[in-house]
Amino acid sequence: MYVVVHAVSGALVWGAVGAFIEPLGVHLERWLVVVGLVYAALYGLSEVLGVRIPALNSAWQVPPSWVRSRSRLRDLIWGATLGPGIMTHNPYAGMWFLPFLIALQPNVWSAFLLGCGIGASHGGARAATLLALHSRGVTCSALRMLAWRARCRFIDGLILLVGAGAILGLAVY
Amino acid sequence: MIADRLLTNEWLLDRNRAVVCLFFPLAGVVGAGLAIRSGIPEVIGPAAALVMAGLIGAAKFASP
Repeated sequence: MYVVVHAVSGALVWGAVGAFIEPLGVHLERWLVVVGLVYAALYGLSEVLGVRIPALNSAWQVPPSWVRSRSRLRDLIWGATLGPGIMTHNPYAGMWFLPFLIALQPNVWSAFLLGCGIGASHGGARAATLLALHSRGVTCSALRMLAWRARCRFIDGLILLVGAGAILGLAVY
Repeated sequence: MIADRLLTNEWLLDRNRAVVCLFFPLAGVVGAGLAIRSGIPEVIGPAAALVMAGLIGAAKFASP
């Protein structure tokens, strides 16, 4: 239930994002390629090198009063707010690279479907990881969390660098 | 300020980091070339986006 709610809410929100931003790609494809390349290279380098660059982010968090309710309703609220990964704090720059990939889709349907897939993949993986860690009884101290986040940001940076290279390659070939 | 931080950043002075910063974009360029040669360039973007979204979602256990 917990994983399904995360995946479905992610799919719905990202599907809507896909359908909304795809028309941008039709008119601004060249600009999107340039902006995507610059974004991936800049933020990829910043995450790999550990240099902080201001990024689009949200400081909003789920209010505790919202999740004091019964367990099923609580799962629904967690899933609806955390599944898409857009509304709350996001430490990884790779998240905002995904809309570029959606906008470059050839039509609204493929953008919608890719958006749904991205949302389901993000929400499902997020919930499944939390459940797996919880069932194994793994608890993370704040310090350990910080170390993990730094490691994950480094890997996110590497993926962005590969993405920058791939965009450059596709544009050149 | 960013330039100052870049010049004094210990990671940047580490030769391995510099190699990584060159190697990974190069891997992307080569990957794109191979994808075009195999005739599947339009599959690569969506497939990469799905994998990337899953990895980011999984990595969020470490976010507050």
